[in-house]
Amino acid sequence: MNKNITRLAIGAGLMALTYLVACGEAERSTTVVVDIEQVDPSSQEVVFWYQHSRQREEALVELIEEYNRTNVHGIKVRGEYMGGYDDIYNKMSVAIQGGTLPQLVVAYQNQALAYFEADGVVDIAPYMRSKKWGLSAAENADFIQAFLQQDNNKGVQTGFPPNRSMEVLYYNVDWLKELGYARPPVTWDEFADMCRKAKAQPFSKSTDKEHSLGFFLELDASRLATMVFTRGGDFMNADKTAYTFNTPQVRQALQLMQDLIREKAVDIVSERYMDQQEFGVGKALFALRSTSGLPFFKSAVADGLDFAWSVSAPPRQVDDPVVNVYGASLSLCRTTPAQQLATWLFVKWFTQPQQQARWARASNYFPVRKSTANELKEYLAENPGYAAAFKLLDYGKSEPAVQGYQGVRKMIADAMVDIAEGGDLDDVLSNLERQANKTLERF
Amino acid sequence: MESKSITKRRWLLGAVYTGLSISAVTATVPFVWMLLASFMTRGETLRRVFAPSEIQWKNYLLAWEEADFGLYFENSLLIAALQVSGTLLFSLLAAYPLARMEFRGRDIVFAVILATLMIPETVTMVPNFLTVSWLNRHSPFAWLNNWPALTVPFMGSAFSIFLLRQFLRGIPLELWDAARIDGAGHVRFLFQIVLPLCRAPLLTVGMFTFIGSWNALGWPLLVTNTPDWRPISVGLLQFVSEAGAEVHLQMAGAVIATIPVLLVYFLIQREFTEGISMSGLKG
Repeated sequence: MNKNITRLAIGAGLMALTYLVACGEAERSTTVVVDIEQVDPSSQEVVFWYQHSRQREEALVELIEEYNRTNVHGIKVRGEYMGGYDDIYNKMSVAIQGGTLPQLVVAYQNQALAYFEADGVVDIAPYMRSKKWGLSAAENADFIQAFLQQDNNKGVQTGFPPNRSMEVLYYNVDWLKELGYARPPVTWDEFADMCRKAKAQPFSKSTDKEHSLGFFLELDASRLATMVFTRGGDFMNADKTAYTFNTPQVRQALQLMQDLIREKAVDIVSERYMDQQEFGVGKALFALRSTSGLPFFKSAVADGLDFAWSVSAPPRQVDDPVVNVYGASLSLCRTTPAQQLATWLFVKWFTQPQQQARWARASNYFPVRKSTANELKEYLAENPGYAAAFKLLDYGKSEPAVQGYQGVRKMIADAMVDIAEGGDLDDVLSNLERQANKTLERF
Repeated sequence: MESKSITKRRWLLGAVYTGLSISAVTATVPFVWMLLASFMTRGETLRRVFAPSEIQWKNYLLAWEEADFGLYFENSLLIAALQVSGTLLFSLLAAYPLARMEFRGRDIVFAVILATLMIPETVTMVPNFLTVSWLNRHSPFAWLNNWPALTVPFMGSAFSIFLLRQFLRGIPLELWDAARIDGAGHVRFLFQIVLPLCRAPLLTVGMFTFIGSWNALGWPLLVTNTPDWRPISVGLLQFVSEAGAEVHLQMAGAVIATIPVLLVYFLIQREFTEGISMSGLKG
C-alpha cells in the first residue's frame, strides 16, 4: 500500500512540476528608447510569418522579391508560411518565451494585443509619425481611417493593416427573380420574408427540391456582429470598457434567427463551409460570408448550377449600409531597432497603392488605401461582385479589438447554439454578458 | 432440442456478423468517400455527388505540384525512419532493465514513466520548444528547422517502453539462466537472444511510431520555418484557407499521404495484432 502511495505521489509531483515549468512567465525586457530618425536599416534581414498558401503565397512572394530587388537600403525580406492564424498564434506564444521571434507577423487585433502585453511586438505609431521614415499627411489621409483605428488601442498601434475583408450578403439572383423580387433585401424584415418564400418555393435548377431554405446560419461571432451592427448596435459600450450583449439590437437579431429556424426557413451550419456549398447547389438563397470567399463562391456556382448571383450589403435597420470589416494586420516584433525600422519600411512599401492593387488582384482582399481604386479600374470592371463590395468600404465597422476577445467569440458561438435550440433570450444574453465581462477583469 | 440450440447459435452468429459488417462499412465509408472525392471536380464535391462523372487524375498531379508534395513526402519518410529507429532503440534499452533487471527504485521509475502518459502533449510543447531552442543555440549543429528537433524529442516514448516491458517480462527466466551459463551478460542476452523473439512487439512499436510521426502537424509547424524539413501534413494544410477549402485537391493529397501508412500496416498486420495482444498477457 505504501509503495503505491509513494508511486502516486511521485507521479503527481512530476506532473505538477511539468505544469509549473510549462506555465512559467517570461522575463520582460527593459524598453530602451531609441531615436528612430538616427537608426540605419541598411542590409537588415526581415523574416515575415504569414498564413497565405498556394496562389496567394506565390503572389506575395513575387511582391517580396520585387521589394528585395528594388529597395535602396538593401533590406532582404524572407516570407515563411506558418499554417493558419491559430498555428501562428501558438508559434508566436512559444517564440516570445523562447526568444526566436520573426521580424514581421500576421496577427488579429486581439492577438497583437496579447503579443504587445507579452513584450513581443512594438508600437508602430512612432514609425508612422517619424519625419524621416513615416507617413506624410497626404499618405496618412489616404488610408481608410477605420482600418487604422482597428489596430489602435488607447494610442498604441499594435498592428498595421495590409488588407481587409468584409462580410457581405451573397444572393442567388435567378432564384430571387423566380420568387418575384428584383433586388436583394434591404431590411431584415425583407430578408425574413424572402427566406420564408425560398422555403416554400425551391430554386428551379436545384437538384434537391426537398431541401430548400433561405439561409444557413453559421454560429459564429462575426455573423452575429453583422446582424447587430446593421441594427445600429455593437458588442461593447462606447469607451470599450464593457461588453453589452443584452441590448435590443442583439435580442432582435437572435430572435429573428430563432423564429426563422423554428419555421425551418433557416438552418444552422453543421460543417465548415456548408453554407457556401449549399448556396452553390441552389439549396440556400443567401449566404453571409467574407468577401475573401468570392473566388470560392464563384467556383462553387460555376462548377455547380451556374446561376446568376451577386453580393450586396447585408440587410439593415438603419439608414446607411453597415459592413463588418475584419482582417489580420501586420505586427512588428520586438527585435533590434534596425530590424524594426527595416520591417516598417517593407510594410510602408507594401501598403503603397501600386502594391495594394497587385495584392488585391491576386488575393481578392480589399486595399487599405483609397487611391488604390485608380489602379483597380479594370479589375473592378471584370469582377462585379468585388466591385459591388468595394463601394461599401466606407461603411465599415469592426468587432472589439480587446484582449480576451478570442475567448468571448467562443462564448458568443455557444450562446448562439443555445438560442438556435430554443433557449430563453434573457437568460442566455445575461449570462453571456456576465461571462464576457469577466474576461475584461483579467487584463 | 439440439436443433433448437443450433438454430439459436446460427441466429446469434448472423446477428454478430451483421453488426460487424455494419461497423466495417461505417468505418470504411470515410475512406471510400475520400478516394471518390479525390477524383471529383470541385463542383462535384460541392454538390456532394456520390461518385465522379469523370475521373480527374489531374487532381493528384495538381496536389503533388501545388503543395510541394514531393519534398514533403520525402521529408515525412525520412523523419519517420529516423523516429522509428530511434524509438525502437531507446525504448528497448529502457524497457529491458525495467523488465529483466533488479535494482532499487525500478518500480518507481516505471511508475514515473507511466505517469507521463497522462500529461497532454500541449503542456509539454512549450518546455520542449525551449529545450530545443537552447540546444539550437548551444550545440554544433542546428536543431530548429532541421531533423533533430523533429525526431529526437519523440525517441523516448512512454507507451513504447510500456509495451516492450510487458513483452520482455514474459521471456522465460530459463533462457537467461542458459545465457548466463554460456557467459553472456545482459547486452549479449538482449541483442542475441531476446531481440529475435521481439519481432511482434517491435513491429507494433514501429507501426505506432510511424503513424504518429506521419500524422504530426503541430510540432513540425512549431520547429520549422521553411519547407526544407516540413512533413506531408503541412502540405495538406495548404488546401484549406480562411475563405474555403479545395476538397477535391485536399482529398487527393490525403490519399497520397495515406498510402504509405496502409502499405506498412498491410505488411505487418499479423505481427501488429500479435504485439498488441501479447502486451496484455503479463502485468
